[in-house]
Formats: sequence, structure tokens, C-alpha cells
Amino acid sequence: MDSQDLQMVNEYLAERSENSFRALYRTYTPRLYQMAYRLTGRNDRAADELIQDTWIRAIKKLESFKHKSTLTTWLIGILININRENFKAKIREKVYEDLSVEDPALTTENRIDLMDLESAIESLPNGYRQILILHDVEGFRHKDISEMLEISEGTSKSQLFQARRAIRKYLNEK
Amino acid sequence: MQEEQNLTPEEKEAFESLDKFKLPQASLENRIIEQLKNEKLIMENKPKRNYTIAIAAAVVVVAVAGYMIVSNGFNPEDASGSAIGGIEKAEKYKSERGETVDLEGEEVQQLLQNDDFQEMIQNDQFRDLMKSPSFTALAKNAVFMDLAKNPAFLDLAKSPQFFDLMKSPAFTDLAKAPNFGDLMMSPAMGELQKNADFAELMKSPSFADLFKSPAFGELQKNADFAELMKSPAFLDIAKNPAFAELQKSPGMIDLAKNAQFADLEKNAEFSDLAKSPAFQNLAMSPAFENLMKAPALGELMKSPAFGELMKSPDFGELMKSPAFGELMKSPDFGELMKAPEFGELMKAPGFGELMKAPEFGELMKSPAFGELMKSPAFGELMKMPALGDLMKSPSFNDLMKSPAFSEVMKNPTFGNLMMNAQFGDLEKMASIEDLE
Repeated sequence: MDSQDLQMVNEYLAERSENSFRALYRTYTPRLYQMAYRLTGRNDRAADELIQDTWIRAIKKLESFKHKSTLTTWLIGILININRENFKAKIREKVYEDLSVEDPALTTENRIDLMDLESAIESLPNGYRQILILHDVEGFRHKDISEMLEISEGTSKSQLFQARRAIRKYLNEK
Repeated sequence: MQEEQNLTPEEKEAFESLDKFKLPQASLENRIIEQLKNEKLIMENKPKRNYTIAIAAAVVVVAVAGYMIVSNGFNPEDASGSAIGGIEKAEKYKSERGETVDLEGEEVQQLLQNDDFQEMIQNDQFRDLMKSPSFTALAKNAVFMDLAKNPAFLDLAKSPQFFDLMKSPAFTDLAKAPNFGDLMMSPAMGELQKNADFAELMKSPSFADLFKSPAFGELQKNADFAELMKSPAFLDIAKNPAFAELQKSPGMIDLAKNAQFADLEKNAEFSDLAKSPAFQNLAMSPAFENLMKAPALGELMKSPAFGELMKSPDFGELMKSPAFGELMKSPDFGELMKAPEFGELMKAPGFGELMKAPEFGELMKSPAFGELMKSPAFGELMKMPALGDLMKSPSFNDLMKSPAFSEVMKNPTFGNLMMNAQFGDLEKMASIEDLE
């Protein structure tokens, strides 16, 4: 149990004031926002909407937060779920791109350009992108990811495998 | 099921180097708050009672009291009796110097009949304050009167964040500290406050976030940090245009966030750092090259305070904090660093001491301080030349340190009075301009 999480959540629940919300928002949003930005393909407006929806839902459910994970992890779970819901709504209109790609070894003679890597992440389909961001960028374990996304650990690993292949293919073709 | 293929070291490093934090536009916060309010998930901030109010709130009460003094020859001894009773009924009064003061207006009448107002002017501590030489000197100060009439100042003085800050023990302790007074009275501080870049920086969210960060709080208590800030070599570097450019460059931002950079001194990982993409990007930038040629850099690197600071874990934490990265990127910060006034301030005797004071650290970390710094009214106020001039005036500093002032600031009735809408209206009356 994180003492900062506990204090801030308790303060909010006791006061439900603007200031107590602002304190929560300012502490946790920078990390959430970077993730929202990547998940939405580096689209500021979409990231804003995702963050807004995340906080609204989080505040509605905050009483149910039991401090079993950190508040950051809990918030990321909400963010990911909202992003998935948004994506499902959109995917009805689009055909999911087939990603059966070769598995070339990434050329590592040259260092990886971070802008290219961001572009590669952006190019991933939503499902792969979120797993890759959670695991390789944010450093969550498959166990955490499986809880956040309500999938099995095996699915998480499999999706990561596909995501990395797609990333390597993208970078090698650059 | 497919197992993921492990990342190569290069891939791992690249993923780890990606930004983990990003600050949204400030407007997003307000949009969310509006929605939360609409859905009745949060409540408006309520003005709190039992205020402990200092500087600017003091300015407001001084303005009103000054108004009373010059308009009515205010005598605390009869304030509760005939003098106030007379104000209620009268329409025009002569000031001590003979100017006509217009007391018409519903707002003024409401204020004068307000219970808090009546209670306050009968309060012994308030009367002591009114009689103190520093108070009367300030009340007659033209600069002060200009400031007190300014709408930006009035907006600030009535804001909840301002009250939250002013009532904090850290603030009242700081206001009484000798170093605070010295610094405030230093010419450099007065000049700095007139600098537009300073005002812009003070308003930026990243600046407020940085000051609130635990890492900065720890660092500012570090004696080496204070020493470094005062050292001539640091000041020379800070004024170097290449330094300002460098701080804004993406390479520097990336490098500052790099964990190896923060661990450099502790783990002797300099060779790893030099190979990192962040460092190589930085090294290729023209600003870096120019800075490397500056003699002041060599001096700075040799100074013991710099060496000690670089080794301190607090410094490493600060460099990694997202707020620091954002601040470094802001153009206002770069411009400020180059301003001569900033350099002068850093050298001021009170600055180093103030930075080390625990009260200062507490104040900087308080949420109210962050809120206040970001408010538009505060930004407007900071740009006003009158504020810089006022801060330098001995009468203002004398007043701030006077026991009577502290007592009045802690008085709950005074807090109630300050939040009274008519109180601000009284000061906006055009007739007050005649008093100076």
C-alpha cells in the first residue's frame, strides 16, 4: 500500500473538493497522459478525451479502490479499458489489419532512433500497442497486464510477441 | 501460445529511453473539473474560516485602513462609536489633506454596517496595528496605494488559493524570517519582478510542479545547492546564451531524464552514459559545443559545491522529475536565466539562506502555493512594477515583521472581512485615487 496514494485518496473521499481532486490529478496525470498519447497514436485531442473519461470514471469508482495495487496501476487499468471500449466502437467500421509478418532480426548495428520507435509504436494495431506500451515501455509484468486487461497471461505474452515482430519489421524497413 | 522473443540490449535501452511522462494542456484539468462539478462528483472550494493572512491580504487591509485614516482622520479610540456611526450617515468627508472622499454607494454602506467590519475595528490587535509606525508609513505610500487599487491585485487577494497559502504556518514563519525581508528588499528582486519572462515562468505549471516535487524540496535544503547558486562560475554559466539554448534542446531533456545520468557520480557509469543515444544527441548540438568552450564551465566544474551537488541523490531525483524536464523546455526559463536581474538575485545575501530555510521548502511544496502561482491574477500582479517597488520599501518589510501584524492576520474575523465582496468594491471606488 502506497502511503501517498492512501493519503490523497482519503483526502479526496473525505472532502470531495476541487482542491483534493486537483492534487490527485496533478500527481497521476503526467504518467497517464503519456500513455494515453501513445495509445491514441500521438493524437493530443484523443489523448485529452481519454484522460478526461479516465478521471471521470476513476472518481466515480474511487471508493471501490482497495489499495491492492498502486493507484497508478489502477488508473492505468481504467484508461486501458476505456481505450479498448473506444476502439471496439471504431473497429466495427474497420477491418482489423492482418499482422502476420515475418520475424526479422532487428539490425542493431545502429542505435534505435527514438522518433522511429515512437512511429513504430504508433503504427501498431490497438491491441498490440497497449500490450507493448504496458510491458516494454512502462515495465509492467504479464501478471499485472493480465489483470488490467482481464486477459490470460498467455494472451498477454502472445500479443507481445506479435507486437515486437511488427515493431522490428517497421524499424528494419525504415 | 507464442512466447515473446527477448529484447536485445539496444531495444531495451530504446524502450527505457522513451518518455514516461507528459504534461497535458492546463485547460484539460479545468475541463475535467467542470464535468465533475456538473455531475456533482466534486464540490466547489469553499472559502475557509480562521484565515491567517499575510502579504497581499495585509495590503488590502492596509488600503482600507489607510483609506479610513486619510479620509476620516481615523482614530482607533473612537472607531466603534461616533466615527463609524458618522460614516454610515455621511455622504462626503474631508481627508487629512483636505481632499473630498465620496462615501456614497450601497456597497460601502453594506460594508460599514457589516458585523465583521465592526468587530474588526474594535479589535485591540487591529488597533495596535493601525497605530504602528510601519503601518501608517505604508498606508501613505503612493506605490502601495497604486498596487492596492489594481484589479489583478484585488482578484488575487480574494482568491481561495491565496487564503490557503497565507494561512499556512510555513508562509507566516517565512514572512518573519530576516532573510526573507532582506531578499525582498534587495534591488535585484524588485527588478526581477518586473521582468516579463519571470512573470511568465511563475505562471507556468511546470514551474509550480517543480517546486512542489519532493526532490526539489530535498535539494533546496542542500547547502551545496545554495552555495552553487551563489557561485560566480554558476552565475556566469547561467547568463551564457549557449547554456540557455542547451537547456531547451531535446537532447538535454532526454539526457536529464536518463537514469544513468543521475547515477553518474554514484556508479561511475560515465562511459555507458557517453554511449547512450541521449548523450550523443546532446553532444552533437551546437549549443553544447558552444557551452563546452565557455571558460566559466571549467570553473564551475572545478568548484567543490558543484561536485558535491552532482553527487547528491536529491539532485539526481530532481533531474529525473517530469516537472524539471518541462521547465527546462520552457522558453521563459531560458530567457530568465539570461536576465541580469536573475543573476543579481542569485548573488543576493538573503537568497542562499532563504533557499535553505525549512519554511521556504514547506511553502514551495504546499498545493495552495502551486495553485496561486498558476492563477492569472498572480501572473498579472507579478508583472506590475508597483509590486517590485513595494517589496523593496522598508515600511512594508517593517510591517510584515511586526507582532501586531501577525496577530491581526491570525484573527478569524479579519479573514471573514477579507472575503467580503464589498471589501474589494470599496477599494475600487474612484474616489480613493484622490487620496494620494
